Amino acid sequence: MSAGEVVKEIEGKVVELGGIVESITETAVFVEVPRERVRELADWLYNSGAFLKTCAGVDERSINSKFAVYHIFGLDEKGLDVVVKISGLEGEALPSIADAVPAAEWCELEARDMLGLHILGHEAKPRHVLPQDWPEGVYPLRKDLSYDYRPSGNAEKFSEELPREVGLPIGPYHPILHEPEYFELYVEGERVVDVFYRGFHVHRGIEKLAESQRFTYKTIPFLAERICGICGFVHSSCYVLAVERAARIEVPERAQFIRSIVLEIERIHSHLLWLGIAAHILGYDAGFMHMWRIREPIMLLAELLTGSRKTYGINIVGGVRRDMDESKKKRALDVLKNVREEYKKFVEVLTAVPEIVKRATGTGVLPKSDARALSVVGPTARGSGLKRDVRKDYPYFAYKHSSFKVPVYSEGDNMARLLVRVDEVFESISIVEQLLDALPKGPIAVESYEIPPLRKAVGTVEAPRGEDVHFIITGHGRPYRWRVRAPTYQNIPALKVMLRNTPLADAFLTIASIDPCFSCTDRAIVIRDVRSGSRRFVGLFEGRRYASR
Amino acid sequence: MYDSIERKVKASIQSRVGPLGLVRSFLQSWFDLAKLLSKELVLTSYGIALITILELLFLAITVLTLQVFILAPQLQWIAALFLTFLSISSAFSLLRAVCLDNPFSSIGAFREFYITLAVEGFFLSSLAMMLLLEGSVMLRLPLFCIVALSCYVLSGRTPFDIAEAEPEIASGVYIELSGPLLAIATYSLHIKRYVLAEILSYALLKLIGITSTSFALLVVLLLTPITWIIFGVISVMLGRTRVDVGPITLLKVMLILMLFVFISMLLMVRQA
Repeated sequence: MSAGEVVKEIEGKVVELGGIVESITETAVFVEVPRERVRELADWLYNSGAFLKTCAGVDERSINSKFAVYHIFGLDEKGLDVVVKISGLEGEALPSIADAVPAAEWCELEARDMLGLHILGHEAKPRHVLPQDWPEGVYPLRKDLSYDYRPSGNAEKFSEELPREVGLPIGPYHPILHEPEYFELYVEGERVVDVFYRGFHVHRGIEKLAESQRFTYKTIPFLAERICGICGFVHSSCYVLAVERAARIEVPERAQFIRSIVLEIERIHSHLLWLGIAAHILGYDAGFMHMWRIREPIMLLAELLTGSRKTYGINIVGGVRRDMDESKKKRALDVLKNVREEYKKFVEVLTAVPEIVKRATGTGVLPKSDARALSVVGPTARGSGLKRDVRKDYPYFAYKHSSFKVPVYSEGDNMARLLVRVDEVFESISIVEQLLDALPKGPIAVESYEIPPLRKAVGTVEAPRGEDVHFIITGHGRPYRWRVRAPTYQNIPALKVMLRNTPLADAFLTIASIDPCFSCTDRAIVIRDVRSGSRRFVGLFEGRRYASR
Repeated sequence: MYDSIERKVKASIQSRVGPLGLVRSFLQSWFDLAKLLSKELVLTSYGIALITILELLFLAITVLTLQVFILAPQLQWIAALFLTFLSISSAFSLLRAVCLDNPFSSIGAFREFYITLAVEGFFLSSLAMMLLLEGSVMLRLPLFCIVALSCYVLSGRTPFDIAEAEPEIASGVYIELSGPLLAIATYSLHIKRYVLAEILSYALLKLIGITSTSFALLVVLLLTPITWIIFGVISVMLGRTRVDVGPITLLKVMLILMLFVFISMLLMVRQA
C-alpha cells in the first residue's frame, strides 16, 4: 500500500469515528477525533503497525479555551507520522490510551503533572515529573504561569522518618549513573526481582523557557543543543527540522549534507564513549581507555569541522552557520580511515574478552513483544529485533544520498545492544565518507524566511540512543508549544522488563545498555533547589512507599 | 612503591601516562596515602576503626614472620605462626565488611566470603604442604599452581575484585571508609598484596628446590616486585567476573588441582 493510500485509509477511519483531518503534509497527517473515540483510533493505529512516539499536552486556552493532548504515532514502514488531537475544557476528563498503547503512560502522566489535565485512569498515580513537594494546583506548562515562577518549597514534607526497609538504592549519585537518577532494585540474594525508578531530578525548564520572551526561533537551536552534553546537535537538528517543516522552508542541500555529517560524527563519538563505559562497567578498564583513545581523533575532527569539540552551535533555522572547505574534507577522510582501522582491531579484542562475552550474553533481555509494546527506540529496539531507524524510515537531511545498513540483532540481550552499536560505528564512518565525497556546492542557509503562527510539525532525528522527537506548534516569534521527547524517555520503561531476573552484577550493565541520557529526559520544568540537607535525602526513598502501594 | 610501579605499567598498557615524573612513578601510592591521612576522620563506628587497625597490625606481623621463616626455614613453628596470622588478618578483612551497616558493603562482604570459601582452604593447606613438606616435582607442581592461583585471586585484582567492584556496588567493602581509615584499609591491601607476591616468589623457589640457599631471602625479595607487576599486567587483560560464575569456576579448578595433589601423594606413599 502506498503512502497516499495509507493517508486515505486514515482519513476514512477518522471520519468514521466522527473526527476531522486538520492537515496533511509530506511527512505527517494531523487529525482531531472526539475524545471518547480516541482509544478506538489509537487501538486501530497500533494494530496497524504504528509506534507511539510520544504525546504532548498543550494549553490552548488562548486559542480556543481548551486543553489539548496530541498523540504522535509513527507508521515506520510508510515514513508517516499521524498526530491525533483530543481536547477538552478545563476540568473535563480526557481518556487515556495507555491500556491500548502501553508506551503512552509516561507522556500522559507528564501532561497530567505539567498541565493539570484530568486523564482518566491516572488519578491515583503518584507524581511522575514534578517533585513531591511541588505546590498543589501549580502547573508549569500552563500559559498563565510565568517561566520564572519559583515555588516556596515545603521542606517539612520531608521530615518523615526513613523507611526501615529499602531495596538496594542505586542513585542518585552512584558511580555507574553519571547523572542523578534513582533506581531501587529489589533483590533476592544477587538476583533482581523488581525495580522502581524515580527520575526527573534535574529539571531545567527548557520547554517552558523556549516559550518565554527570552528566546526566539533563532536562538532556540542554541538552547536545544544544551539539552544534552553528548547528542546536543541531535536536539538542535530536530528542533530546526520541526520548524522548517512547519514553515515549509526549503533548506539548501549543502546545509543538509553538513548537518548529516555532523550528526554521524556525533553518533560515532557517542557510541565509542558508550563502548568504553560498558568495558569499564565490566571491569575491563583497558577497553575503556583504548576506546576513548580511539574516540579522541573524532572529537578533534568535530572541532575541525565545526569549531568545537562539543556543543557545535552551527545549526540555525534554514541552514547552518559554518561551511566546510576542501582541505578539511581531506583531513576528515584521513582521520576516518585511521579511526576505522584502529577501531576494527580493538573491537575484535573487546568482543573476545571472556568476561564481557559471558556477562553481556543472555542478560538484560528485552523480548521483541515488550519492545514493540513500549515503542522503544534506537539500539535498544534494534537489539530486540525491531528494524527501526529514523534515517531509513523517515529520511531527512542528506541521508537519502548515502547507502548504509541498519544493524539488527534478535537476541534482545546486552550483547545484542552492544553489537548494534559496534556495527553502527562502521556504518556511520561510511556515511560520513560518502557524504563528504558527494558534498554539493551552494549556499549553506536560506537568506530569509517567515514562520506563520499556529502551524504544527513533528521533527524526528535518529540520535545515537534512538529516535529524538520534537513537536512544534508555531507562535509569534517563538514556538507556542515546543515538546521534546528524548530517546531515553522512551527506553527507560523497558528497564523494568530488562532488569527482572538479571544478576545484580549485570544490572548496571543493563541500565547502561540503553545508553541512558538522563539530562535529555529531565528537561521538563523549572524548580527551585530546596537545600534542606538530609531532609532532602528522605525524598529519595519516597519511591519505596509508592512502590509498595 | 610496587603499587606505584604497577600503576605506571598499567597506564602504559592502557595508552595513558599514569603518575607523572620519576618520583611519583615510584611513590604515587605514598602520596595518595598521605593525602587520605590528612583528611578528616569520619567514624561510623569505633568497632570498624578497631578492626581496620587490627587487620593492618596482623598483616604487618605476617610480613615479619614470613621474612623470619625464609631466613630460617628449618623453624617450622614459624611457618605455623605465619599461616595463623595470615588467616586472622583475612578474617578481620571479612569482619570489617560484614560489620558495616550498608547494603553495598554487605553485598561486597558476601562476595568476598564466596571467594574466600572457594580459595582460602585450598590455599592454606597447599601452602602449608609446600612450606613444610619435601616432595617430588609431581607433588610440588599442582601445589604451586594452587598457591599461584590463590595468591592472584586473594590479591583482589580483576577478574576477582568482585567484593570491591566500584562500578557495580560503589566500592562495596570500602564504601563506608574514608580519610585516614580508608588509608589504613588501602595500606593493608597493599601489604596483603606484598605478602601474597612474596609467598608466590618463595613458592617458585620451593618448586625449583633452591630455598635452602643462603641467598633465598635476597632472591625472593628480587622476585617479589616482578611477581607483583605480572599480577598487575594480568589484571589489565581481563574483565570482572560475576559472583555466580567466578567462585564456582575457581572451586572446580581447585578441586581438579587437589585431585592431582592426592594422586601424587598416593604415588609417593606407594613408592615409600
